[in-house]
Amino acid sequence: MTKRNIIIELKHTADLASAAVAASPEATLDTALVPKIAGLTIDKSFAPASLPSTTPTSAMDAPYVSGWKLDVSLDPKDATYIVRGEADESKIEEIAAHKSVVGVYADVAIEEAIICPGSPPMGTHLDVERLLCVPALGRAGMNGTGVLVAIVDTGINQAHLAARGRPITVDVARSWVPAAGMTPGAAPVSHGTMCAFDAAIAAPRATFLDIQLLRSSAVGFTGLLSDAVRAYRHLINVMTAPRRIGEARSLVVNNSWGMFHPSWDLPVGHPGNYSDNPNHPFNRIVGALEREGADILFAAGNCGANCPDGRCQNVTANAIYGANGHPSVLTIGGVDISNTRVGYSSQGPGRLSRNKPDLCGYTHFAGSGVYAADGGTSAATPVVAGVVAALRTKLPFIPGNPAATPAAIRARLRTTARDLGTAGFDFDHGFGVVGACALVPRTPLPSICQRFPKLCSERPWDFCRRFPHLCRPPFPQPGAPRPGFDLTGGDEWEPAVPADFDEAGDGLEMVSEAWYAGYDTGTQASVAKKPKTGGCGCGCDGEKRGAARTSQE
Amino acid sequence: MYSLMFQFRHRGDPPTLDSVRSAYGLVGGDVDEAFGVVATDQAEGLYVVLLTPLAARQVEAALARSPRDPAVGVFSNPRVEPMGDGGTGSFGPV
Repeated sequence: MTKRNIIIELKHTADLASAAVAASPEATLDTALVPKIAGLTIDKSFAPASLPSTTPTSAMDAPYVSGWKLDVSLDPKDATYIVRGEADESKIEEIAAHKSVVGVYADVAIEEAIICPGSPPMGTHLDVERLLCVPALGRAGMNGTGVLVAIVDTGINQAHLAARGRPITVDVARSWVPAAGMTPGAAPVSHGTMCAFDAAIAAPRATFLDIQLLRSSAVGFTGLLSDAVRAYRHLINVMTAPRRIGEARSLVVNNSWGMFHPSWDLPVGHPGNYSDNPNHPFNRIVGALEREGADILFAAGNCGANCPDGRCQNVTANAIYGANGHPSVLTIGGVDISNTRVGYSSQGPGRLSRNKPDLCGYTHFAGSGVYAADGGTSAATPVVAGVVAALRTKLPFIPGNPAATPAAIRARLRTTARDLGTAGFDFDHGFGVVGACALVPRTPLPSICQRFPKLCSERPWDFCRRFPHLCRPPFPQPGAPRPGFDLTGGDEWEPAVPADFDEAGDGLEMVSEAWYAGYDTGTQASVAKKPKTGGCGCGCDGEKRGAARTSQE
Repeated sequence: MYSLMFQFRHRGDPPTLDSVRSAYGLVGGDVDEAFGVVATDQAEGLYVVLLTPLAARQVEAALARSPRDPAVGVFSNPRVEPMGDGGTGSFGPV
């Protein structure tokens, strides 16, 4: 006997009418109100619901045909009432024939429509702009100005972006191509151009670096991880190049690529494995770039359980491989503009770090015009990268400022995400969808250069060559006095405040500015000894230092 | 075909291809000169070169005689692809 979930429509009775009127979400059904019918099990948790009576306006009209007019009666006596239950399939006709039953209908399981590869786009980039509060970000000056955004991908085509109404600036000198004859900003229109378009939604004023990793193969848009090692070395060189005093160098690195199946790698447990091995050269260099201050984002992948990309070969468990789930990166899943997870977005746990993805970005919308939809976690990642770049406009990376470390930025993104799915972190959505709107009121104070422009004025190259320590922010100098901090500590600089130290970082910044000012007046030594008020500034004991370290991640 | 990565530790001045060859008993064609020697984690003194499978086996045999350092050895070099269409048609043409 096959059991079926059914909806039973019952004729009016006064008791049913009053039970329907009194129904609340917590209400249950008194089964005494329902006629006893053999073979039917009533669901007591489902309170009766009334259906108003409808009749065609014209006796010639058939009901429920689109376009016909219906008269609706709100009189309870005209209404019918539905309850639900379960019955053997063979009993359904018998139930339908009962004198108090109007009809019996299938109660089918329903699910929300889910986006899969090949689905048409949902919404456009303008919807994404609205969801990210881009106008509010812009009014707050959070638009990517002064921030480098590296698109590590198949290359950017600037002309296409300009034609789509989204012109961007590409820093050709600091871009990277895998072979001679390739020009940054002039790649064939493809995946990388889509990523640049999507990053520019929230950070239209960012300066883009075109890192054409996925053009290193002669066949299609693929590359080898060793090419990524070279590309990342280049980005470390960008981050460590000499800089002027007070100059911030914020670098956001977008990676909408990865491996799709374990067969692409050496087996797990093999010492040369990549996907699960933090010592793999690429995983090491990702950690090294993050320590230099870069904000690194990786796509979670397109091997979600509902409708994985064909390249996943139906392997959907533990499908966030290698650096895509690195503890020092933000791992990005995808949701559509209705905040529903797209069915192909890879779910956690990650292989290198369990709690992945970190958060989700918007994807599968019409935008760049490169594809029908800017889809995949490929699109979700640059959407979030743009938000990080917008945040970095106001909170630039300055070595030694614990409120501006990549870990602090990751913490800020996680804590401002709009929770989706089960409360708190879950393996489908991480901490939720990126909460760009929540970042606006948390905008930090203007940077040193904005408040004291003369400190950031051009310094001669020769000056920086002779006094390199004056051309970098002050804190990392081994053995040098550290204003407002432990003056007797070891060579390793350690922040004395937690990484999620937020606007309270103001106090730290004030001391730094005074110290910078001291260089112009020759009084930095006295300023350097000025104790910082509040927080854990001078003379932290070891326990407090340990606590600070623990809170880094 | 240079298909495997070899990561090793080196202290002092950055290593050169020649110094890598002499340290691990490799010859000219064993190491990818175009790739060169890349620092993966300078703070830890870690560098990487690309080797042929034959040279990688030779290096692994040499390393087997010394205590195992998980960061040192021959590592996979898998292909990587875009997490979107990337020419596969998964997400449909315009």
